[in-house]
Amino acid sequence: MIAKKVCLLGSFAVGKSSLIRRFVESIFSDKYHTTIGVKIDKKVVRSQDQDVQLMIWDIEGKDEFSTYRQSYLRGAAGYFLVVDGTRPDSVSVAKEWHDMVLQQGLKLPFILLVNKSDLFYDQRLNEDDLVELSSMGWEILLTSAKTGENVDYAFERLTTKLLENNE
Amino acid sequence: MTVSTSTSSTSSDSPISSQDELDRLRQLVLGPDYEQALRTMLSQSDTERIAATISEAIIQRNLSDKSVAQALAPIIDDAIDNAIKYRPQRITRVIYPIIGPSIRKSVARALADMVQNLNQILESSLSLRAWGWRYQAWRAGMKYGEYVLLKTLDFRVEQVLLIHRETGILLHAENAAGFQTEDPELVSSMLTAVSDFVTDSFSRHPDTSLDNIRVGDFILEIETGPSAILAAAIRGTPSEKVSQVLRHTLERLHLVFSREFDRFNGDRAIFDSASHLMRPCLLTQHKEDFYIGTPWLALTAIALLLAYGGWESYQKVQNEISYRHILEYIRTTPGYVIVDESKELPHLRLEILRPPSSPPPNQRLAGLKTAPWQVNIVDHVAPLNMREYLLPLIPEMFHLGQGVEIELNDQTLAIKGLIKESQYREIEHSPMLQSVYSSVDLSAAQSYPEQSPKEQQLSQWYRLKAKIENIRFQFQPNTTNLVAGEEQKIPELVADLNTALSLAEEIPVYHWQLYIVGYANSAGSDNANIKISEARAKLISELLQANHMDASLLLAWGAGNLPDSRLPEHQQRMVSLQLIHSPIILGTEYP
Repeated sequence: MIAKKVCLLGSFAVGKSSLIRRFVESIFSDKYHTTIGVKIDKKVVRSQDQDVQLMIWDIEGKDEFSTYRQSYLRGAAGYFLVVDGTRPDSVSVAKEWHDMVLQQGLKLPFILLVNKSDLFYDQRLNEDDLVELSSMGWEILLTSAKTGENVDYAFERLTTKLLENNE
Repeated sequence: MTVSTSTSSTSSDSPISSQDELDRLRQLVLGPDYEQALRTMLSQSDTERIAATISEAIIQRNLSDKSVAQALAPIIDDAIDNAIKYRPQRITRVIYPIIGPSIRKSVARALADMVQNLNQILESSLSLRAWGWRYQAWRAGMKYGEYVLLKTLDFRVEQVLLIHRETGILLHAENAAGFQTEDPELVSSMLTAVSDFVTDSFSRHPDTSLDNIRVGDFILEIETGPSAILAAAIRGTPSEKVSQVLRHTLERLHLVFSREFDRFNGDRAIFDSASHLMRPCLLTQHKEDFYIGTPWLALTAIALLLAYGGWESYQKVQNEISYRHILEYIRTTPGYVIVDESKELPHLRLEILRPPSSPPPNQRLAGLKTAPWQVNIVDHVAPLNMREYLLPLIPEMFHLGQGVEIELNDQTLAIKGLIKESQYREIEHSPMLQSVYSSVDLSAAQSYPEQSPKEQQLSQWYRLKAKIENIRFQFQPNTTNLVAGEEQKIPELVADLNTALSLAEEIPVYHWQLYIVGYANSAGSDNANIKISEARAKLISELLQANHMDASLLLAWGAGNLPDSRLPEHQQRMVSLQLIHSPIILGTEYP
């Protein structure tokens, strides 16, 4: 089975850990976030008629970029940028993460996940921002860790992009 | 047709116009780009043309076979040789950042191993086993240190993980028989993360890496290569050999899978063939296997020891029997008194006092078997009448007190006064007295237990004191009413106090009083507690006075609540008693 390393990037409390908590195999507790700044989980996703094992590096969501958290990106095949639909500031953090990936010379497939879509009436993101990102070629998915909306699909979609990039 | 006529005419008239037509024809057939391409080609030299495509050409060729590398290898070798020969400073400058950390890492590893080995040797150098090992090492012709290492190492490599350094993805795992980990893939990734974390946080050199992680008796030994990591999970204390095998294996893995490591895209199937390289890393070393069978040698030694011990005990018993037999024989000889005796095998020394009428000891012992003792008798013949001679010696011989009177009535020894029970029995059954005197009269002697009457009185005083001081009177909450049944303790207490009064006069015990202390629980205020505790103490005092106890003997006092009392709340409502001496006068003995 092919194995790929993917990273979950984004501001603090945007729901990165919640996104994967119910959908992955895990043997480590969340305390690793506060100790070494990353927790790794595993998920097998089927795409293009083959199983792909995703090693998901859930990187601690602090807004300053320390050296060790940058090094966790090394070897990644793709990544999710996660933002909180109720917090416009989380978009700029996601952009910073994306710029940092590019600065490291990495051109990897990624998907922007606008999380907490279940909080319909609390959505505060500027639509123009998303349109602008979309026009830049960013693939955007609305997800909800609470209801599970689009979570499996997001993993399948990124896996497909990884395999396409592989080719 | 028109074209052919025109061409023929042009060619005959002028060569220039013929060239123009040729150009025009070429432009019509090949298009305008051809001219541009032709001009570019003509303007470039061969070198420039090759330079423009050489990189792509090399990459393309390298994808199909290794011929480019083979062709370049001797040239690169010569270039390096020349550089080292003519410009060594430059080479030194270039490799300095690499060679420094490598040497440091190597030296640090060697030192760590040495310290580990030295520690083991020191730990085991002073034990009994260590001396056994010294002997064994001497017999085997080995150095002691080598032998200790050989004996103390005990480990098992339970799992070896090959991890892609860049991605942290597990490429291949080899397990020892019967060993299972929870999830080697997650463990591998996490190990990479931890290693990155440690390196980035605590080291400024990107080439340095985590060497091992120790948890209890479990060690994760990590060998890091340029493209892959080899991690071995080891239980126990691994030898240097494990690190060496891991290093060599990682080097071989890099040699074999160099290209696969570099082009790793997530497909791990190719690394299944790493199994035969990794399996030799699953090393195991056990401590010395001890032979578990019937320990004949030890059993024989124990049997011999037991036999020797039994024989010695038998001899000792026989000697004692013989000794007692000799002593009895001498004692029962009429008129003989053993004054002193001492023995140290085989010598037995007896000092005998006898009347002139008694036979000499040598004559008495002539027919007696005394072996193994060599009996030496110091013979004292009493110059006077034996009965009178012995009379003043009796108090000292039997440790009698001064109040004991000893008299000789005709041939009867009469003893009067108080003597201990043990002394009474000793005198009554003394063979010496029986042999010297016709009878021993103890009718006027009064025996008492081992304690003297005064000692007995003191003991009784202490017992009485302890009994009184153990009495507690419990009270109902917030009142001076005794809990039901508590009042029944009064008559017995009065009786004990009366006994104490009598005893105190006999011993005598001076200046004693019954100290009656009242207490309260923590429920009320301090003032209220003091008051109620005092009232409780006074109640007991009054009850005792009502039972004819002298008021001057009683001292009542309220202590209130004791904050550090360990008693439960309901038991803190009480009165306790103490026998005290008041006033205390210097020079007076108080029991």
